[in-house]
Amino acid sequence: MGYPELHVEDLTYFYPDASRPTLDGINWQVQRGEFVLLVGTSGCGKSTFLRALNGLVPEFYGGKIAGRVQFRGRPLYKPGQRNNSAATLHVGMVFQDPERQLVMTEVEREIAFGLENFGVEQREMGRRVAEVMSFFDLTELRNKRTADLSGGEKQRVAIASVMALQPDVLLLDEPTSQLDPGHAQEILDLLKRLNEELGITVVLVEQRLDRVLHLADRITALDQGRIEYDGSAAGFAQYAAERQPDLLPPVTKVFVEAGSSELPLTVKEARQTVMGMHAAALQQLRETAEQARSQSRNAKVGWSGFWLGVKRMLGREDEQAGTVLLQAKQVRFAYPKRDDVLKGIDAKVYQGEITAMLGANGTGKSTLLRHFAALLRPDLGHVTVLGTDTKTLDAADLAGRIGYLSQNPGDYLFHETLWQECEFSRQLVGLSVGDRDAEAEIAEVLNRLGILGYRDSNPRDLSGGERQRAALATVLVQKPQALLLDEPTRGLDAGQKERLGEWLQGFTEGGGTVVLITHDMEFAAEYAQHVMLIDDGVVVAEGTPQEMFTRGMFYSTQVARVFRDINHTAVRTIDGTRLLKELQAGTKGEPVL
Amino acid sequence: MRNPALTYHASTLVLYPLLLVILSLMTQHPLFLAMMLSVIMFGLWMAGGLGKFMYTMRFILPLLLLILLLNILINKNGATVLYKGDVDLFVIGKLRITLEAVTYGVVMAVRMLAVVAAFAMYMAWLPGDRAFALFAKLAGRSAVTTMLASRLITYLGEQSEQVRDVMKTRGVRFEQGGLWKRLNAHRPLLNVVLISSLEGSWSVAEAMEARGFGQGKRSSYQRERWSLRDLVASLAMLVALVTGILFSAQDVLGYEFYPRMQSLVLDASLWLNLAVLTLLLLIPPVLTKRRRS
Repeated sequence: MGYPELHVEDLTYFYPDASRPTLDGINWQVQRGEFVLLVGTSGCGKSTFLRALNGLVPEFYGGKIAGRVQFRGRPLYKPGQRNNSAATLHVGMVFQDPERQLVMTEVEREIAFGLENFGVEQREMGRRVAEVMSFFDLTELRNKRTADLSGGEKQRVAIASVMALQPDVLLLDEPTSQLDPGHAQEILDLLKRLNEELGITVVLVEQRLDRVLHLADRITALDQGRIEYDGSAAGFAQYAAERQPDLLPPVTKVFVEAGSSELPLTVKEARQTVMGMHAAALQQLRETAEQARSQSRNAKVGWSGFWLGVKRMLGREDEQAGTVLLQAKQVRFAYPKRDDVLKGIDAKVYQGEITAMLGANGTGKSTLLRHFAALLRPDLGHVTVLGTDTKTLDAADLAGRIGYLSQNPGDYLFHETLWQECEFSRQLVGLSVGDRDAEAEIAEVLNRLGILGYRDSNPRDLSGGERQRAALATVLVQKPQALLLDEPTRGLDAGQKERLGEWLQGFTEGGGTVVLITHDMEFAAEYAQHVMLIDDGVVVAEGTPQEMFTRGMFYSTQVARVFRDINHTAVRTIDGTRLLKELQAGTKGEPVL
Repeated sequence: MRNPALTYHASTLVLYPLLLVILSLMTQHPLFLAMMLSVIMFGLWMAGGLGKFMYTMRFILPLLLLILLLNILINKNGATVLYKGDVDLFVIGKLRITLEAVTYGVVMAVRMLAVVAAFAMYMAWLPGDRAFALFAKLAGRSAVTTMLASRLITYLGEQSEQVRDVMKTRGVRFEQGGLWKRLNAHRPLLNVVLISSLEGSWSVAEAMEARGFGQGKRSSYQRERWSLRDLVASLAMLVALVTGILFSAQDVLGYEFYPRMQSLVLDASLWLNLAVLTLLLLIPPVLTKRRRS
């Protein structure tokens, strides 16, 4: 047997000025053609490890390193040596943010960039660029400006430009975390092709394990700079269940929480397991679900349904649903020199609820959210916020009452310390700073978000999830009644998402209102009370998570997919766990609950 | 529309705006400066960059007005007094506004505008990728700095609107109050944009390193070709530069503002010199190819 593709021995690494190692005595290897998934919670050292595999650590970042990395039995780079061409040629790297890794302005030149750096002869460059563009289906984008591409296209160009160098190993650092589900799937399909058709060794860091587990030959889990697990997917489920439940995909979590000995990692495996359970128990569950459904249908046509019908006729149905805090009425809007983004949209957000807006990119979700923040005014129709038409409002007028969090937390952070950042926010809306009450209020917000320990840290030095919470803190210290959050779960690991969700629930229980945009169906199902699906500038469907995620096959959660034929209301982990427990009880011959 | 980028070698596309900047800095004669500005605007229009430049004017205009205002307030030279104040102002002293000082301020603002417009023309004439390839060959790692700097400028523009919106939702009022209050309101916006753009530049530099930039001698994907047009344009530029130096030595490019402004219209040789330089400078844009449809 030959040398492994990559072989890491006793690798320890300290970032400059760090007192603790980010990588701590790592021994690891990957065989040719393997697809390895590198997992772990935020800050566990995954990205640093990936960078050590192609020499960016320590050559670009500095710091202290010990141990060695070998490519097919030969050192990949020599510490302190400036020229890292072997590492770059054999081990390609794709980064997280598609915006920040493209160098050139045109697609074709971007793909040729790496080849130019290695002095590849012009004719050979032409051939490789043509090949890569054909494989990645980029020929039509050849002369387009990279700035004009969508996120998915940018990431495809980034991978293509690395692949033009014909590396043997491809390292990818959360390449789908900034993309919507459609584009993310495109990228993952490409990786599968690269691995299966071209035999490229792939090492992938990814937070959304439900998307990628089926691709991996092997899973390596890191924790605090050490490898804690390295082996098969089945073994990983057992390891994560015992040691790091935050890493489990939602479907596996259901089985762990139900106390099942079987731990399926994909929807397919989970469905097979569920369908393989006792037929009588399944039938009983189906019947119970059907009974509940018909009761609910009958209830709707009963007296309460009649009164609801009357109220609707009188236009007073909101009295039953609650106070409408934000409303869009027949709103049409177009950005300058563009087609309409919002095409007569009607939307209501009720006080004390979490409303989740779903839909593909470019359908108008962010534009609607910006209307609620009074950053945009409708061309036609009306938007009312807290009872006032936004045509008479400036965004600054709503500060302190409506909190808006954009997709980029960096837009909020520029002070030396997190504490100063919060004080600045309060001063902007005329709240006091420096006195005992103000200090207590800021400390309480930071504490609830779990970042009080960073009060004197520069918020720019925090990790992605912490930064996001820091930005949220700057909004919350203004004590708003409602929060508008544009993709708040982007780039967060499962544990961070759970903490954010629980915090938002607490906020609404205290009378606050939340509107959030997300592509994360699981998050919307777990925490939202109201879900809107937006397509082509209008709301095409809305309702409770149970109504929204069980009707369709694509906009649904893993739990809904597993129990699709058995129960029509199960969408959350807790629903799945309950059903599974009932099934298990029925299978054992015990009475179904 | 004619496209200089399709016509010339990258070096010609760099040297022409550079020549215009040099000549603009060599003269303070209102007619020569007006001619330079017109030629630059023509060049900008040829490459379809005039609209974008006009958009950026809204950021440049306040700076030009500031130059003009400072000159009017501080410069007390000139014989034609337009206004004389009695109050002793802090630092400035008693106000004395003269026609000559106002004209001098306007001319300096035009000169600055010409330099900025020449830079805009360079951006419109030479696509970023070709500029990068050229500088990477000539200057190696310095090209990274150049590229990161130019990226920073683009980023500033793109991000400022987004950060401005975020600041508004936090309660920053950009349009309220006097000049000082408004400038102060923009301070956090500038801070965020600068810090974010530096972070962005760091990421790009990392991506460049990961794809082997600076590892050795580079090749070029697109071969730059030296054509007859380049030769003619270069000769015209060389002759224009020599002419400019000669004019400067003979004080043709100079202009007396004080104590009274010299006449602009009566000197025939001046008009001849102006025509010669104009014709030479118009050769490179006029020789450009038509854009393929």
